[in-house]
Amino acid sequence: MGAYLVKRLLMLIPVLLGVSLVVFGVMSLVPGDPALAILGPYATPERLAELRTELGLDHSWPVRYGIWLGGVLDGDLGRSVSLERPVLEAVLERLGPTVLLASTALLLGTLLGLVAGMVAALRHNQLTDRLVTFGVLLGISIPSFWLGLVLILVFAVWLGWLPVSGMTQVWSDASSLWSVADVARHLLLPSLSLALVAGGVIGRLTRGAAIDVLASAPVRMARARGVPERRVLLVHGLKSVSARMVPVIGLQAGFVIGGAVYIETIFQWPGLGRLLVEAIAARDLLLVQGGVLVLAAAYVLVNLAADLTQHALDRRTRAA
Amino acid sequence: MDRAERLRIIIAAIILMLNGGCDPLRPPGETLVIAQVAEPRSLDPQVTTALNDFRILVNVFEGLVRYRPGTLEPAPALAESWEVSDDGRVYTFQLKDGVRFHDGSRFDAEAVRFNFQRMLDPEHAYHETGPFPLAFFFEAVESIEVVDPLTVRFRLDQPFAPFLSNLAYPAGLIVSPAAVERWGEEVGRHPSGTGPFRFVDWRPGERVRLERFAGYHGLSGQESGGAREDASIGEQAIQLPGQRTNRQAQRHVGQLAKGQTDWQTRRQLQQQAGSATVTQVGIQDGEPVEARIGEARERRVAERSCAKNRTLVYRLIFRPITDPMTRVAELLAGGVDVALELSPDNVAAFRERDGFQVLEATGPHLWFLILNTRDGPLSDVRVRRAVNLAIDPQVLTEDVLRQTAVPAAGPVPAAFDWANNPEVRPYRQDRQAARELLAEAGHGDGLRLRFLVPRGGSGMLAPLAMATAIQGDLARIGINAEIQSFEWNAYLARVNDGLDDDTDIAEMAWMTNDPDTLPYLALRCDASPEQGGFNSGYYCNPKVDALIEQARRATDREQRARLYHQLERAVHEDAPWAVVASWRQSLVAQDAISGLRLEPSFFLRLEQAAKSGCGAAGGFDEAASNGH
Repeated sequence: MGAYLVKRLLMLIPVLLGVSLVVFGVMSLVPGDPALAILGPYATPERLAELRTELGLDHSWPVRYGIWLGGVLDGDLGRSVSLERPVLEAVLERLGPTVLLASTALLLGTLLGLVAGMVAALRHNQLTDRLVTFGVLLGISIPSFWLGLVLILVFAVWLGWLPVSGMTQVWSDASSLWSVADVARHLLLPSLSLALVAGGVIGRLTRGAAIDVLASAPVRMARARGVPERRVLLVHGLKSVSARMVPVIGLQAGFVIGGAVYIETIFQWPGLGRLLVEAIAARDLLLVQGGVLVLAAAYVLVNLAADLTQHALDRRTRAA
Repeated sequence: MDRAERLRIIIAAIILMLNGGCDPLRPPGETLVIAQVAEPRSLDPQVTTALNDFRILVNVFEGLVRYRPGTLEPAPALAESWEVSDDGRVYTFQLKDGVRFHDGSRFDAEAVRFNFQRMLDPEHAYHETGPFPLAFFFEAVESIEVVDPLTVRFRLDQPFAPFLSNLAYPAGLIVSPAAVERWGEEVGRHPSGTGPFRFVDWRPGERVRLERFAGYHGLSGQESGGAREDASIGEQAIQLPGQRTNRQAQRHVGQLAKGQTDWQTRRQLQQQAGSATVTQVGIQDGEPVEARIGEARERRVAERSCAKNRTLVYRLIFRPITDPMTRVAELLAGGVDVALELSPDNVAAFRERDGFQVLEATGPHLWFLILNTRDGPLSDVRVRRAVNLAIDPQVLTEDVLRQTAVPAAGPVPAAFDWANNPEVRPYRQDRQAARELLAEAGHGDGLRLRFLVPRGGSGMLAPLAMATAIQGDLARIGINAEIQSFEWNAYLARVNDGLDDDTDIAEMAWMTNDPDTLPYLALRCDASPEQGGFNSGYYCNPKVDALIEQARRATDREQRARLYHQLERAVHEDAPWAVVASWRQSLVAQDAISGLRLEPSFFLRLEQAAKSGCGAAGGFDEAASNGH
């Protein structure tokens, strides 16, 4: 187990190296000049040339990549030109809100998906099943950014129940208890927009898995032995369904993190996704690089966690 | 049924709980929330070049001079007065006495010198806190001399009339030297100036918060923002939320200095102040104004109108909201008070909607076509005039730019009202005359031209849509313009290098802060790309050169204005460009906000901003009723 964990963690290194190389290469193909972005369009050519030298932009991109990599080994991700501050500081500060948003969305999506899938499986081929399946399909096919805008329109603009955007009420600095409630109400709409998509996928797969499990020998045995139906569902059904769903949930974590990029922009959530969008618009290579690395690492780690959880839940994969 | 009912009650209860039971989704009366378009890059006025950041900075910092509200004319700010030597090379500024930075340090001539040395002198101890992209605004400065603590003298290496305009630009805002020494490179995240609002905090991605600076010195009457229109402020019982008697005011300032005060103490002070018919202190024209509280209350009772009850805002919150749809939603929901840079469609919708106001300003901006005056058919002035006669700026600004711009005529944007020649009008569309000119020039059976267009870019408005509309106009006089489009940075690199011999037309836009800048950099014979200038069409007229040179050396503004009038006339006749439009920006605000003005510079000074309505003046009304 320990060796397995170390092996998986070591895998992070080539993954991150590959990701950073791709980001660097792609960003160097994208037209746009960070020096021009800093100085504005009417900069004189001399001043531009000076700044390019200062920023090291006159080297070819493989050389710049080498310089950057050297810095990373020293724990220095470079300095962001669009924010005038160290990349590491800016990225870490935005990580918390993204983790909060993504984990809430994943939790909500998993709950919705598991419940919807189980209900559909129990009422297999009945009206409820059809309705749930329809709802799940809707969740999968509606783009979350569109859903986000509709949720804003209905709950914030028309009903006035919830704030439109942001993570906290910008004009108050009240007690911590109030802050928790405040963040919670700001969190509701963006996490719901992400959760419905993840929930759709999880729900669909849960339904399939649950139909299998409910028809399987151990469940039929339990029923035959007269175990109460509720216990059959929770102990035998849900447990084995969950074990099968863990890797799916791990994969969904990737989509939630990816979806957070535009959901954060629509809801002005102060997270890493929005930081990335702004960094790309500003051609801020080092900031993009830092943000993508952190997101990629998060994705790998979440999937590692999913695999480990599955090991714990399902004995059969332990041998593998 | 029962279950649905229960569910509804639970949802309602949760929402009520989350919202704290009152109406906290709208900012309170003493707070103004402004939706900006991006996270600020830096709050160091010498480091940033973004308009988005300038809108915050002009409320925190002041320069030696500033633009007189509503204009682009330099007027006194931290310098009470100045003298320019007859040769136009020595500027001596008398500084205002008793001014302090927000961090408590003193503003004096030494501070002024520190700021400019930091930008200009590579040997300066804090030059490394840059880069300072706009330092070239002041490159004519040869030396800065501290004559006495309140007198500072700039020597220029040549007469340079735009110097004052450049000082009024945010690059000339004065930063506290103590703050630079303390924070170094991070001073852009800990700004300290002398302006009416002091910086409180910056939560990345969420907000920048400013609060009124209790020790603000105030600018003298005529210079103050919106002074004339707001002359009725006193009559309308305008209240600074921290209104107080003089003695209380002193104590209040003392508390502020000790950093003890908060909104609660301010409330208490108001309650004390409301307990008698004492004089009330507000701010009008930057000077304290006294009005009888009793009178004000009587009037309010008589009118029973909440709308008349205005409160100067105490706190400013700038939110970065990058998504334009979210800015619209926030305005509609009331979560923000002011939003900038909405799409033309949205602005039009808000104009029709109750509860909102739309403010507009036309900037010192010019959108034009560079015509290749050196090579090809456009080297003939008759063909250049024909191009000018073929297009109609009025139609382009209304139909293509949907009123986000106004028609422009000459190389001096109309926003420089003192220098703009009102007699030079945009070319009137006249296809018959255009065809005749073409025939005269020997192109009676048509002409092919190559037309370069960027796909986006700063101040370029809608470059592709404009290009296709212009292409259509040209086709109707027999010119077949072939459009080639480029990404903005690639485009700039190409056009700024000069139009080659088979390129005839290129779109361009500039936003400047002095009428000198654009002609000097883009119309002189010596400003060709090979000589480091931006005269990409290789226009050359020695008479125009002489006018530009004289105007930038003239110290008398009226004389300068006359020279610019002549310049505009000459350029209009030579038609090296087809000048089309000046950019107009708009701002949408809730109706309850007053004292706002979008400046021609597109800055937003919020010293006079006030909110009206019962909610807005809550603090005061409460105080008044508690007092009696």
